[in-house]
Amino acid sequence: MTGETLVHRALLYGGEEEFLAAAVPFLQEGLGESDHVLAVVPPMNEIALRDVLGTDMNSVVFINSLDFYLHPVRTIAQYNDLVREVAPRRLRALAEPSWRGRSAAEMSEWGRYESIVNAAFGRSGAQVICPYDRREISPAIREACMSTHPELLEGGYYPAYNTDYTVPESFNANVDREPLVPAPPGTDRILIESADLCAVRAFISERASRRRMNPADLNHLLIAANEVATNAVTHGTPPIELMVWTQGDSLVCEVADIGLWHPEELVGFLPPENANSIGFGLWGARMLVDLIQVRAGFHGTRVRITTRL
Amino acid sequence: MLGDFVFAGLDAGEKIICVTDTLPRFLPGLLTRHRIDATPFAEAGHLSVIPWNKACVRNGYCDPAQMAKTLEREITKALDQKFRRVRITADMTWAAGLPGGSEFMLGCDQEVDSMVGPSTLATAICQVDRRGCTPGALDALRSTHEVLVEANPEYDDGVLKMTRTYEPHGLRLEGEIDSARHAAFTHTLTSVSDPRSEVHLELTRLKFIDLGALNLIGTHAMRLTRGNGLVLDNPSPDLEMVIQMVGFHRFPGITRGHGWRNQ
Repeated sequence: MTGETLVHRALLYGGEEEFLAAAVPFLQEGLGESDHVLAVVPPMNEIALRDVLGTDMNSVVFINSLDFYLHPVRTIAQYNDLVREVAPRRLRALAEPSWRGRSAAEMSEWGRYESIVNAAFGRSGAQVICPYDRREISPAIREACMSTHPELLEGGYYPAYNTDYTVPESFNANVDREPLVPAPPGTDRILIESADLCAVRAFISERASRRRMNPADLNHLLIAANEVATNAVTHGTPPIELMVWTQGDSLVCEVADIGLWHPEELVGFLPPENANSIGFGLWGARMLVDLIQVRAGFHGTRVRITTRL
Repeated sequence: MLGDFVFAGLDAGEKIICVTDTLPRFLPGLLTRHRIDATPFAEAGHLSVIPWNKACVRNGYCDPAQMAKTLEREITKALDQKFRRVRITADMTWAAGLPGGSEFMLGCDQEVDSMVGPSTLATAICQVDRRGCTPGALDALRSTHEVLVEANPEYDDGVLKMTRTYEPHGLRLEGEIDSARHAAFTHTLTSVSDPRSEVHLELTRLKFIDLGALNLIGTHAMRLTRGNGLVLDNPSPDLEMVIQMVGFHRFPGITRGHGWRNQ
């Protein structure tokens, strides 16, 4: 971490020409300043960039964005590791997440990811441009893009200040207000009465095995569910219950109590320094499973873990 | 376990004979578990510590028959000194790894057995680290010993079992650790820790460990960094994957020991 301010711009482009007009000078500037230059883009944009960059492209690390943007919390951790590895050099990334084929819940999480980048790398000095193809993105994605990037590049070389930008804490809180589909009636449930969660783990294992979850995913689910349940026992208000059901192609496991929890806004998304840091447990749980959603309010606290089967 | 055996013997005023290459004060488990230095007992003749080369070397070779003679002499001497009973311990692990070591070990064992077996006045424990032995040697040892004593676990609640290990120094964890067992885990980990030496955690039979316990290991490792820290041995593939996913570098002080698939 160099202590310099992060540059995080969105580039809304309508065609290859517009994309290259902003992306190429950005990458070349990085090569001139000896930055670690990374282009995480879809294959079509990589081909276009390679044609224009010529011999410069040998110093640019290309990554196929379709293989890279798989899990928002892990992606933040990957970038975090990269910033540390290349230090004291600065990281310069052309970072274009793919939006095709994502569900509404996934879109929200990737929107949250874009917002958290501002908090996670605020003092890293990293230079980031996130290209968005105007022709492909939905109005909801465009709205999220405007809320998560402090600066915009739209039809010009110089960035415009973005008045729609929302600070990560508020953006994150908004994402956590989206309602969740309630558990179906008659869902299997177990009461959690103490920190001894042996029976709870057996309850989850039995249901997950019945639905043929593979052993590695089951182990990750057990660790995540155990973590969430332990938090509820330690900080929540009884009665605490855990429910398990199938939703589409996923197994959902939810821990609910009637306590009012104010989650530390971004803790649990930011990679902790080490295992002793605050928030390591929730962050670790998020790293292990596909999705953890927290809904907290006067009606109580629910933490939902989703794992694809 | 050996510490308890020797301690109980000293406590009951029995004669103790230890065939081992350590000094009396370093006999395993006495100083650490019972906080006694055995040196005065050795000086007073309650305890004889006989190095292996004195116990069994004849004409430059290790000879089980020589071991028998030494023990016979020591037992006779003890009974002459009016000790009511004699306890004998012999740490044989060193022999297991040598060529012909298993045969020597079994040979010694038979000699000890022929000496001790018919007597009601003498009891012997032959200490062997099972991991240093071939399965055949272990089976043979089992058949020559009346009772096979396992070290008593430091903690066992039916879900989690923690047993002290001596070679390497540390703990064997079996079963499941969750936050209901954190206090016991910390307590036991602290009781086996020594700032001057590595602490090994043997994980082969650990089925579940929560993130909180991994965090405790991390915290403990930080405190132990003056020594060589904590060494994790034989994690399951699933546990190794979890540690890799949350980042090995987030557990400063922890060292990868045996049985890791990715170093």
